[in-house]
Amino acid sequence: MQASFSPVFGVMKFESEPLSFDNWQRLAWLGIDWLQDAGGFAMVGLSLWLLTTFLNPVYDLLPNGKKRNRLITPLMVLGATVASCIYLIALAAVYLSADDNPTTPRVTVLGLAFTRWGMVLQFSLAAAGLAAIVGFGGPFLRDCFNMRWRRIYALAKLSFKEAVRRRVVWVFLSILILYLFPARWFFQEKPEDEIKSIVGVTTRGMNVLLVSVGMLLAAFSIPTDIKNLTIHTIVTKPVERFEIVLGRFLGYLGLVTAALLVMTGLGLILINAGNVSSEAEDESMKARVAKYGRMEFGKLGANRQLVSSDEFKGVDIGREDTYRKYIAGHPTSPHRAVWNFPSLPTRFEQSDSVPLEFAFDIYRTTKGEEGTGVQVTFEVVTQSWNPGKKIDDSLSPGSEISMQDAYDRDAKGLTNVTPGSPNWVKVNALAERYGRYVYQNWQIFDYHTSRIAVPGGLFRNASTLPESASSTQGPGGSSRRVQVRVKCETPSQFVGVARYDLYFVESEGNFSLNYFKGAVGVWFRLVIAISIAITLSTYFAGVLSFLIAMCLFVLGFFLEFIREFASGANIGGGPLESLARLIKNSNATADLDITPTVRALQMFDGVSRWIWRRVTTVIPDVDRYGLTDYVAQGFSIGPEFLLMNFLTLVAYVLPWLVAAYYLMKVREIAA
Amino acid sequence: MSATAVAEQPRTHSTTGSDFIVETRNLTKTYKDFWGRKKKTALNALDLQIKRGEIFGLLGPNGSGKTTTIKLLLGLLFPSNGEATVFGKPAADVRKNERIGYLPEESYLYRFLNAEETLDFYGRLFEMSREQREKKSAELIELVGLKEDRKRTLREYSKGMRQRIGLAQALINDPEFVILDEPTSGLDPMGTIWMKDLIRQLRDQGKTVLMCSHRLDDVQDVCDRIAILFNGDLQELGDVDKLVEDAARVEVRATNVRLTPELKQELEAVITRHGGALESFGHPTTTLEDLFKKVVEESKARPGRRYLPTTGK
Repeated sequence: MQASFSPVFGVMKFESEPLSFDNWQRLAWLGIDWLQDAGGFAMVGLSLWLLTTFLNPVYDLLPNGKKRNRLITPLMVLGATVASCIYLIALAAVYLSADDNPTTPRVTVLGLAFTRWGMVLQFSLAAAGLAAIVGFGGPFLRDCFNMRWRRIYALAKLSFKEAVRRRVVWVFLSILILYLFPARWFFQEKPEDEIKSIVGVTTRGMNVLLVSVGMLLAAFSIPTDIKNLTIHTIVTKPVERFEIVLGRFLGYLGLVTAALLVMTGLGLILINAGNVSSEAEDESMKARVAKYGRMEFGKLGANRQLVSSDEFKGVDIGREDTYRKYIAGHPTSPHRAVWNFPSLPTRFEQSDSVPLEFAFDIYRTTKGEEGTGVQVTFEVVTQSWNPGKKIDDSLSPGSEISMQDAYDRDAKGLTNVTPGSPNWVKVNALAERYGRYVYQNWQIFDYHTSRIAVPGGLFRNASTLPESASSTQGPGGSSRRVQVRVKCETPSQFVGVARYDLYFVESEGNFSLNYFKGAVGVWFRLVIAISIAITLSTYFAGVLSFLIAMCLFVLGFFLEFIREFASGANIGGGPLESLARLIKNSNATADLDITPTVRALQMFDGVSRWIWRRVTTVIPDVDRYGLTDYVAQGFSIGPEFLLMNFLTLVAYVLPWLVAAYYLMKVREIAA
Repeated sequence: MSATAVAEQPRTHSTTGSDFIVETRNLTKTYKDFWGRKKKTALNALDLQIKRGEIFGLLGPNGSGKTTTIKLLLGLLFPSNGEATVFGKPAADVRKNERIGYLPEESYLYRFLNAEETLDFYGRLFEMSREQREKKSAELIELVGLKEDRKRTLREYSKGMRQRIGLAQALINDPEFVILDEPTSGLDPMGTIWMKDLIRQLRDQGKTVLMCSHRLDDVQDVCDRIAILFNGDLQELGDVDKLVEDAARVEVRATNVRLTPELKQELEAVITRHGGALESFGHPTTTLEDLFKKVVEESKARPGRRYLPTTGK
């Protein structure tokens, strides 16, 4: 398993790098990870199936009088044999790679460096997984072709009708309670956060209501059918057993999808009819299409050139959360937070101005003045900006002047000009000529989204450069066409930045449409909840299915912590070591004295970590589907992003459905 | 080949089995606990053949293995040993179900549906078109006498009505083989008579019927052959008439004769001469079912008819 990339089953945090088709190497590794994970489960399932059906065969009589176990297919045996052989190779690779050390030669495959045996291990695990998936998934796929949509539709319609006639839909009306108690009564936040609160409350309400109802219906459907014996009249018709699972799944999914659509519509009405503040509208009632750059830290050298970020990687102010790093504030501070934009839309060149938005964290070492923010200066430059370069002086032909001096002279009186003012044309011309634009001393407040306008001339300047020039390296090594440098001007204050804190606004879409796109994330969660519950219900009783499904679903929200714990990266050790620290009142980061007791506790924690590492691939990554966060923040949810999330959803749900297929197939309905 | 011949022939098996709808060989079902330990053998080495076009009855007390046999044939249970084929296909093969109709012991239907919706749902499971479903539903609702109640949900139905709609769903696909588990359960006497007539009609249409029942009179009335199970073992198998025949006794029936002591003496003399003994002499009794049927039919024919107590002297 690659430590660099979380597996497909894993979490993608809002702040982390979103999956994208651009980064195909990363996608390829996600696919390999999935083959390893799903293949491992398939191998376990295949082994159990072969063992069980070998001990409890169901024979078909062949015309020649011989018997054949109809539960074991040649493909299964072949898949299991091939996978076992390749797993042996993987085992050998584990043994042979034990001697690898940092100096062992490495080869780069799909962007990642491996030792020879490390690479053999990765690909043999994936190949074995593929063989196991083919062996285990083959009968599933074959029977999928025997399924008939008319029967599945009949069962789905039955499930839908059952839920409606049992008045389950009335439960959904409880969402209206949210209308009676507006979010602003309970969340005394800044006016600009009002929509965030409403979106947060409505979507959480929808999540809780729909997930719990969907899960309850799914968990109890098949067990209730078996208990009431109604399933006898279905399985005695020409119905494939998996059709029952799929019919139930689609029926309940249809019901909660309809409820989700209605609730989303009601949520939109609530937002539009809620008299939200204009600040909130400016902040969130948008669907920004943001153009993000690559972020790094730079330090201004003696010659006013930014030096490599290898020397300066931001200030650590001692917070546990290391997502943001800080730059120190002072008029003479050399610290810069730098965003490089290697490519930008051509429409920027045709624009009069392009919005640049940002929201930073502030860490104050002095109290500062009340109601006054921290001042920040933005410098936007293109590759053609070279402050020390000598150019012809336009005012005195024949003489040379440094670009910096020429700019300072020409920009006099043009500080902090905004679009629409008479001087904006001059600012645009200046930016187009020099490839630089500066906005000085903008006041920022904690996490408050602000925007400045960058003249379109700057982008026209950038577009005149040849591709080879524009793709040269930035200070930290990343290519750039346009670079934004942020400097904190206020002494004794620190500004915290991360990659997604600053971006150009490419365009603004429709908020309502974006709100519905955000609901797709809720729908993804519903698919997960229902598929887990229905799979479990093919084996367990309703109550047990519901409880296990709910536990797995809730654990999904803590998956990041579980992963940290499982990999041993969390602070304070495993459960027993943490307990020992609590009892001994010991610091979480201090090393414990290695006594036999501590060693025993750590050994137990090691075992529990091993177990949890297996469990993490089963826990659904529900946190990644919190797309409404984007809506609340006013960011457009792109179709590519939705598609990527959909693919990860399929990758997670498919193994569950295959498990449901086998559990249902092997189940004695009337036992 | 007659029913009797089937019972008497050597038990050979054929997977193609054009003459036999059902064949079981050494069919055994053992229930085990979670740890795989044997709990109970519900069916033990059953060898059975059901011929096309006959009405076959499974008899036995509770726990004898009747319902287990049916569930094994339907693929609801998997055999612990032996095989069962239906239409030459393994019992676990769902494709065989296209030609089977099944009425469970209790009519296990969705009670939130009405009669029309119920039949429409089951019709969809057979991939019937809308026109086929509508036509067949109307026919079957008419057949089972629920036309007036077709829009009521099944939770409002009496047990007998549910049994009727249960039978309708079993016939929705015009099956060649009908399995009826306690078909007269919950039916009133007229309903029982109607059900038995219907079962006979099914046979007359060329269908094969397998039924199990506790009501021995019902089985005797309609079945061509029966199997008697006890404690999972097959105890008796054969033609009903043959099995119930009392070879030690002779029954003579006559019409237009008055019961007189002289007649009795003469009959006794003849019987004694042939080495026998007269056991009873008198009018035969009809069955209660026949009496009930007669009363109901007369009541229908003569509205207002009622019982009047006889005034004895």
